[in-house]
Amino acid sequence: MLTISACSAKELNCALRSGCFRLHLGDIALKISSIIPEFNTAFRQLYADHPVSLTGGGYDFDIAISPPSWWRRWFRRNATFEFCGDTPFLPMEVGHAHAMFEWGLNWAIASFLHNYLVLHSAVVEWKGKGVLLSAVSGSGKSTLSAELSLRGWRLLSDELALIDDDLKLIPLARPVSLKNSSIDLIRSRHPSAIWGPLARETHKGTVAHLKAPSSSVEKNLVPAIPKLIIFPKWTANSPLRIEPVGAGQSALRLIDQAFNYSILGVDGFERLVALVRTAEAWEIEYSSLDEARGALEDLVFERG
Amino acid sequence: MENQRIHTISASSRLLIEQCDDGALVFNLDTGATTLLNNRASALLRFLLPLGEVAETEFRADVNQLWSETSDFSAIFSLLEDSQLVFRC
Amino acid sequence: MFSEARQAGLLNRLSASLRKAGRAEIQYPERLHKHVLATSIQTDAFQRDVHRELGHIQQALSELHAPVLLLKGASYLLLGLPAAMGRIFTDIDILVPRQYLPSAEAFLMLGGWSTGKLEPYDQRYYREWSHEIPPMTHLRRGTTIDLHHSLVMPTCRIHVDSEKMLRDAVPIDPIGFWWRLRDEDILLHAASHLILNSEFERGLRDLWDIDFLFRHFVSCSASFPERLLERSEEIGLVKVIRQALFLAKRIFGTQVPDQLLPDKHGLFLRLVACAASTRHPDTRSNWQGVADALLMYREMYMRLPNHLLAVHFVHKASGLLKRVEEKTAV
Repeated sequence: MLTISACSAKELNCALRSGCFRLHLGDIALKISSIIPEFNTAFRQLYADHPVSLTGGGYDFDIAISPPSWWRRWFRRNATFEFCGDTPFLPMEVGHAHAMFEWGLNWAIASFLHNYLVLHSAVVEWKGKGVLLSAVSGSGKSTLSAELSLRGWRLLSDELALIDDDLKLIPLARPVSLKNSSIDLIRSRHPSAIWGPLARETHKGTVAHLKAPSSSVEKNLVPAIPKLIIFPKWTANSPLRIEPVGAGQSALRLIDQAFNYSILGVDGFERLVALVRTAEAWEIEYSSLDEARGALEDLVFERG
Repeated sequence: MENQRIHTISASSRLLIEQCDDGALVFNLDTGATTLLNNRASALLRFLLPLGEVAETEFRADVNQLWSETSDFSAIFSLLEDSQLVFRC
Repeated sequence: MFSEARQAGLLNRLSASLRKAGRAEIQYPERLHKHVLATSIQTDAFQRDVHRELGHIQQALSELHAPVLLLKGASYLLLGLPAAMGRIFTDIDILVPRQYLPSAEAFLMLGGWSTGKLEPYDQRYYREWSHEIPPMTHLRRGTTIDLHHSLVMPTCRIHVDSEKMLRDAVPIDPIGFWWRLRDEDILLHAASHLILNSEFERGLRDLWDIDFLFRHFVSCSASFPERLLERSEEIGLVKVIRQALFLAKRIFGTQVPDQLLPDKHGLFLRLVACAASTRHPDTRSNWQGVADALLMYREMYMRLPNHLLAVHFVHKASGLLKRVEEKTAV
């Protein structure tokens, strides 16, 4: 299938301008429209390995990155995230448009795909076993999932776990969003990794996106079976601590991090119960990424 | 002396209960709330469920026969009542 | 089309219609099936929430001992009308007789709903000139109640006998708590809401309601159109219902007998047709912005006497700037 890297910048810009561009994220197709050069460039970098179409076709969501009003094009250049014709968020400067796209897409998936149970959790896979990394923002789950994805693990998502009614984890490998010091950490550990532009002074601090490994993107049509639920917590200088978490406790903690649990009603409950019965839960506190990875690989081997 | 009112209690019939290793997950169809009960609380609930509406004193007596330690019956019952899993009239 | 429907707030209803029709009757791309499923899950959750909320309201007002009339979307749901299908709404509209309004407000406040912080002007607009007290939001649940005491604003320029609609309200069931308007009045109320309102962003949805309601009531009783016309004459909404049904027929193909259609189609109807159609940037008409503005002026003209109009517009203009800043950051 055609990937962005096989398209010229001109072809890509033209398709983005004309409304014929489609990005394929696993099963999901996005119509993306943009006339903002900064966004197009960053997008081309970060989604180089993703399958696309330049000739239209069916789509799930209709996203436009556009200038908020015609006169704003010329000074204080901003961009807005338009979803199916609505603008749910405040505009951001054009240099941050690619970050806004990622945040907006997370919002769209979490708000509208209720055929899945959507949890705030990274999802990775090792040796055929799906692993959820569920934690509140700031506990280091994105950094951990970035590290794992660069060490041979498959990345399914850095933010959203999508669980279908068959209890499968649906992949959506995309650029991983990292903040502040995590950026330097991963850069120093993996000098050859590919990054998008740095976005300084966003409301979340400095943000940069790590391009998802092509091996992960290639498997975006292959769901994973969840075998482990991990509650990771990064604490400076902390020795490695691994503790089991009961299924009931695990369910409550996942509900805390769920986007649409109550919308799914009874189905949500049943799906969650099935998940915690099928995947063992563990809490991991760590300060070293290497230690954390080692511990996770052991857990997958022994308990997955 | 004031007459003691006889309380009856019953468990909600609108519950889904799933047992896990560390307790029971209970989904309340009326409120949409999910609660995790420890083993003692879930045992109490399961015991009450098939009985329909019973006099509280009778129920306490039955529970006494099964468990030696029932000092926390009131505490457990309050917990269940707060979560709207059981009702007291 | 799904994109347009989503933007118009109609995807849930479109999905529900597709599900009802069944795959044998209507073919649509495989890809969209998950969206039909997702929106129907959302609709089910919404309807559960509304039923629960109605239960809470009933409990809070149980000591009011006055009729509590349920209006609009929530009433369609409770009455099991086809118009409830896939219908999402943000507020629950209820009405109590004027003399019970302070008690109702008090009971609701005890139950956790609150009018929140409003500027003095807005408080006055609502309480004196409008037919609503400010919306009351539940502090914990975040649900909103619009508590009314009459159906149309008292300063309205066309004379509408909404008191009659209230006098003829009936309980939904003999021992129940909730009251309802008569069938004709439900439709007239929906029509007045559409035609006398300024916000046509949801115009397409309101019009679809009217289509649903009309078809349903006609299917229940062949004499409904006559009764509707008679009633609209009694109340003073003849022109309004004719305009509403004309638009419904134009956009949804509702079968409307001639006596319920207007004789001529003035500028107003053309403006509304423009404003009520879809607003997706890819498909919207360039004139929609103009139509919106003209219609808003018209609505205010209809609702407020001149001296109040000037005050109101100045205030709204300054309010618009504030609203733009209130949109949340990601």
